[in-house]
Amino acid sequence: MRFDLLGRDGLARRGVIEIDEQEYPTPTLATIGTEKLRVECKGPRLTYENISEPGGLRVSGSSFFDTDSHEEGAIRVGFRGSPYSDARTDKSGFVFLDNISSIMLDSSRFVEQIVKVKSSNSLLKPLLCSVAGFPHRLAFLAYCGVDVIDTIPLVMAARNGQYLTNHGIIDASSIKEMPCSCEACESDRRDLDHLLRHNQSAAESEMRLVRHAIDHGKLRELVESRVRCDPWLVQNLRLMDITAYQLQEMHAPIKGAPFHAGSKESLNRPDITRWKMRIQERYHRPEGTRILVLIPCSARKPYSLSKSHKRFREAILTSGKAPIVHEVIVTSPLGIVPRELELFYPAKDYDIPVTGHWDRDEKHMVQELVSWLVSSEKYDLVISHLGDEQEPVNSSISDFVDTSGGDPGSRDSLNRLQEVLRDFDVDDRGPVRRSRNLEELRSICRFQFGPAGNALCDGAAIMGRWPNVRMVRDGQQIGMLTAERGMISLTLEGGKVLADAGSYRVEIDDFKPKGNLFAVGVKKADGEIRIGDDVAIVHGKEVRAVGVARMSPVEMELAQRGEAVHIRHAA
Amino acid sequence: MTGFESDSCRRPRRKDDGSAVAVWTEKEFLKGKLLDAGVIILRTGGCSHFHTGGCSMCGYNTVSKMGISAEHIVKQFERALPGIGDVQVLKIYTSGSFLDKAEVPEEAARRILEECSSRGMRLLVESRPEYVTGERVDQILSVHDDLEIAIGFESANDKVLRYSINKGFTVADYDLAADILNERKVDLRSYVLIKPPFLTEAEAIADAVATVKHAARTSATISINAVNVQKGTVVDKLWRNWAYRPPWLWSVLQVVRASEDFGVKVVCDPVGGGSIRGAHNCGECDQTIIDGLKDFSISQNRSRLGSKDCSCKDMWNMILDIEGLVTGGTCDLQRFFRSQRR
Repeated sequence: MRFDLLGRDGLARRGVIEIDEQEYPTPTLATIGTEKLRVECKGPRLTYENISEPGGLRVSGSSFFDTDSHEEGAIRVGFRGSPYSDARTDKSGFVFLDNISSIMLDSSRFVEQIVKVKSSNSLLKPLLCSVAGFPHRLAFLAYCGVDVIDTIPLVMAARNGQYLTNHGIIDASSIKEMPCSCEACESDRRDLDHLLRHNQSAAESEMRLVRHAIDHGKLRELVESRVRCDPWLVQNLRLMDITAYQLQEMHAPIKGAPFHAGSKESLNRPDITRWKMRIQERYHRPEGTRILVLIPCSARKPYSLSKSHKRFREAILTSGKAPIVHEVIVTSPLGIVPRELELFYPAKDYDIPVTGHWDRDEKHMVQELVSWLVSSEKYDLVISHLGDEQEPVNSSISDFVDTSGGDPGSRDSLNRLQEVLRDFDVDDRGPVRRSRNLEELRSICRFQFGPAGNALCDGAAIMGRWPNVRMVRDGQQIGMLTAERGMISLTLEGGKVLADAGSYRVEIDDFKPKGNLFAVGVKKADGEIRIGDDVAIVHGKEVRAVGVARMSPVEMELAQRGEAVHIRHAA
Repeated sequence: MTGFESDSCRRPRRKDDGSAVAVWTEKEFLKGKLLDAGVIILRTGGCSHFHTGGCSMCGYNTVSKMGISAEHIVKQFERALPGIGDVQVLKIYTSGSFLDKAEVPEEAARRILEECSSRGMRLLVESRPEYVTGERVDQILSVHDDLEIAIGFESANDKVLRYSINKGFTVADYDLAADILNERKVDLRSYVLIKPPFLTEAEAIADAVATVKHAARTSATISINAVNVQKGTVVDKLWRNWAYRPPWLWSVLQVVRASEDFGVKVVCDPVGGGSIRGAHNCGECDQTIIDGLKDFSISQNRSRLGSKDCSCKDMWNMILDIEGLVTGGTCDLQRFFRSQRR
């Protein structure tokens, strides 16, 4: 058996599993087969060891009997978790979700198991999950990083007269019109054989959809829609977000696909939680700004392209105070988006349903972030220029001016905003004004690289037109901001700054990387690196290349195969 | 694995040193005749093995009590006797080993043996094999010689004894005890367990049949016992996690039928049969099968066994077929996928 990882979407991954020279894309179903039971399938078959069939997964008898495996690749069940034995006999290369029955009953145990397996050295082995894989659960199981899922539930359900869909379980005898057009359903028969063929087909279709979603970085959205029909899934997803945030965050790309945040669970997506935490850990207002203007978000992204934001900016511009005004957008589910970060994922990549009514979780979240901003960043003046979010925000801060009266786009409100700004008395003992653009770039750099981002901007000048600007120091380009990525892309010179600051480094042996850096060459990777981050590839103190991370730091260190960093510039 | 040790869900019971746990009468088929038998369950200090971990399925020590003296045991016995009246066979169970002098002191054992001898009653007692020594058996035979000694053999597979049951003895230990009894012409009754934990239904059937075959060579009677889920045991913990299902009655029936080939008297009365904690089927066909097993046990007439096919037999067959493919522990597939959950 050989297993290669080809792509990732959080903990979920796409790979290829090779058994006896037959290759199967993962995540995959493992279709159970016995002498009595045979179902047509595309993926690998899961059979008993004594049923010889190339290209399948084989399970040996338990260790209680002499039938215990004689074959290298067979899956050994050992003493099935007996507390009287701690012998681990499996050599198949798979890793399992253990205590399968208790994790199906208890969501916290399920999440514990996932965290255990995915934090261990078995991270790169294919993870097999038995008994749990109803079609509507496949997306979630894949989301947790399960690679192979057996079809025992499809068989048991068919035996019990249960008709499976990607939206849950239906009693087959209650169906008037078959809600599926697979071959078995077209026959309109509900015997064991036809039900099983339908269940198999429903699971295979769903698995293909899951693979598609992973390929496009959209699995989380599929999961959020699938969990609705099964309390076990909702519990598990919520607990994953609450108790396995760190694990999920480490595997979540820094720049992901655009998404729709349409459910309660969306508020706790790892990439959204990361945004909120990173704001509080790494963010400071651009130096020189003294007036905070809180404005609502817009449906159009980036916000500054929307009509409403053009009006806000016009009012600010004509007030004459623009150089010291700091615009911060108040939004669900991100909380706050400082204007200069509006290109940074996911600020321009999310979409939310807008009703004008904010629920308690949303209110609480914006209140927390706005009050953090106001109390830690110390503005001379705070202006609230908000719409539906006015009430929760205003109630969480004190000492501010409200200019919108709940209708931020109206002429009156805009005039009021302009007047309040104009009337603000600037005393001339304020700090020496630096380039506002550089300070905004510094803010992005800090958000992206932490303290090392500050070092990048020291002594740098900006060239070009925002947002497509280049950072130049001593005549050499060190990096550039691109509107599409919303992040800084570094040159080798920029990489040296990171290396000196001691972060975002991937250490390699003494060789000169050409083309791309493969995991086998990685000695160590700094823990803050996320997929999609710019990293410096170093040997000792020497920067050998810069590029974009393709793996989480743990995977870079564990893996023997696969591209770890996509190199942009090599020395 | 942890979590199995610290179980304290035991029902508090009133424990009276001077009265037996239970007393009843039943029928016993012996050498072609149907006889009256009395059963006395004595309260003792409990099984010696229980104090060193105990068996995964056994919760019988909940009736045991520390500090029971020989006088207490004799008192329990004497108080129980009038209740059973005139019987030809007396069965004395202690939830442990009658032959263990630490559990049943010699003077108490002697009193019981003498009483049986004077009344001409055949006596059946239970013991772990380590207490079945030539010396001890001879000692007992010198007081009373119409004896049957029962040993909880459970499985003829050392790995099952060790890693599933935690029995604390080996097949060789049982064989040695069996030889000691056979040499002295003491009848041996062997208990065979159906479905210790961590085995699939199919493995459990095969294991029980192999055990009947092994025990048939040295035993006068084989008692087939289906696991029932007793509170506070490892099996109970598994059962509450839906990781264990007591055997199907179809499995019990299959083992009893297979034992026909070995030419030995077989009895089977599943404790808790038909309930969710005992051997059970779907609920429809359970009673017919249990009644059949009971009838068979007191008649050895195989035509009494069985039931007409029930729809649950298809489920049982399917589980026999696929359960071994479950990975990541054990799972009661029937409970997880029963339709009434949704």
